Amino acid sequence: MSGRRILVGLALVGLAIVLQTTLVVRVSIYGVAADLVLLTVIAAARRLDPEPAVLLGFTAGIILDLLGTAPLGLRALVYTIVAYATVRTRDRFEVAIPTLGLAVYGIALMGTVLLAVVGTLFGEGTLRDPGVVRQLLLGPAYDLVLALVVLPAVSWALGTTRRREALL
Amino acid sequence: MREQRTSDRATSLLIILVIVSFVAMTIDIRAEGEGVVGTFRQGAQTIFSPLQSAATAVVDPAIDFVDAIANLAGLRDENARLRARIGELEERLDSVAGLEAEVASLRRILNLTPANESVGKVAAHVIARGDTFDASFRIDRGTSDGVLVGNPVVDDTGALIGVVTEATGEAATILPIISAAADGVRVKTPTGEVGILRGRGSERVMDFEVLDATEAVFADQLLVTAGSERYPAGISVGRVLEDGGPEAGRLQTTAVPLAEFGKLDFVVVLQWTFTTQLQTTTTTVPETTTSTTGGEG
Repeated sequence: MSGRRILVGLALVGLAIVLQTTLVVRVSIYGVAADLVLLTVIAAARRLDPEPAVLLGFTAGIILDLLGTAPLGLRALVYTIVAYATVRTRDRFEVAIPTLGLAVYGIALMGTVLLAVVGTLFGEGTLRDPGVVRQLLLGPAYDLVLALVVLPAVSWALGTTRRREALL
Repeated sequence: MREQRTSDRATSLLIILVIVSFVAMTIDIRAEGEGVVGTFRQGAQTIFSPLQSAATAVVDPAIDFVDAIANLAGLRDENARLRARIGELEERLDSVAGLEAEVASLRRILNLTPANESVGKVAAHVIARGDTFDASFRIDRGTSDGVLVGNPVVDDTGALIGVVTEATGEAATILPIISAAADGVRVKTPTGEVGILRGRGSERVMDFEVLDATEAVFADQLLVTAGSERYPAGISVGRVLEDGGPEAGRLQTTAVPLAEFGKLDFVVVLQWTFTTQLQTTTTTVPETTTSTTGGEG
């Protein structure tokens, strides 16, 4: 694993954070927005070695925590687990585009549910919101739509050479 | 074999990072945003604020353009409605001018100043927002502009939005009242019932509860801040959504905030904190006494 790919991964996460907090969150439908940072972590974790992938997830989460008002470590915890889940399952799902889509939705759903549950345990009151089910189901669906662009773009940026790998 | 070793190391790393995350959350909650965690937050926000400001400068016109296109069909109706409204308002202007003079006169007599008018204001641009589960947002004004942690924030119509929770030199973070993580807002009804308004995280509905209630509340009644350590008295907050009556002295119903949290571009920070309020009160009381004595003399 070259250091260059890790640096590119970090730069992509930084870009995703800026776009998430300024653009993506404003394009909310039914009060729910896609999670570009989560998606970027999934996309990068598909292409990086396991350890850098997990560290990248943690870094993305901790930066988002520092920029928001949620307890420091909440998103770091969730994105670390999301990166790890991606690393552990990527070989099984990356056989066709539908299975990949299913995996992205599943991992994004797992991450969103984890964010809501752990956030509630740490005083965020997320599960008290009457609209939480809508948020939990729609968020990953939007992520799946955004994945059509983000996954190939991140694969390209991280220097994947094989055409089939880039497509998937 | 190498793959297996790498995978095992990733699992170990995961366990370490999960533990670090839980420890960080516990420390952050116990420190209430102060200490080392607060310093880290300020550092990250100082780095990202210029990037977010630059991105917002590009994104805002594009989003406004898309909004304008999307709303094109409704603009003609909106225009006609606004013209009719202007006509109505012009008719009422004369009577309002008379009432304003009367109110100003009564204020002078009672030595009262509304909360929003007695404190300095700082207009700010929203430069970044949290995600679906984080209702907080960031503005492009900070301590160098006189914005302090604890300052209340209102929208351009004067409706309460939230409170400043973090402030660096050039930016600040606002926690809106609709956030489930925000403290409840002490509000009162037109009949004088004082209760607490709490966010659920959803924009349109908040919980309104009055302990020791004596009178019912009715839909559409205005709720204003009743004065507390967090907010000065007299700021419009929301409207009662459903009628509610006291049951065993307790009243529970729902309300909607006046501010449109999803469409905030500009906000106004009120340079008020409970400490400044106390200082003002402490310095005002002797003056009033002196003035009264002098008058009597």
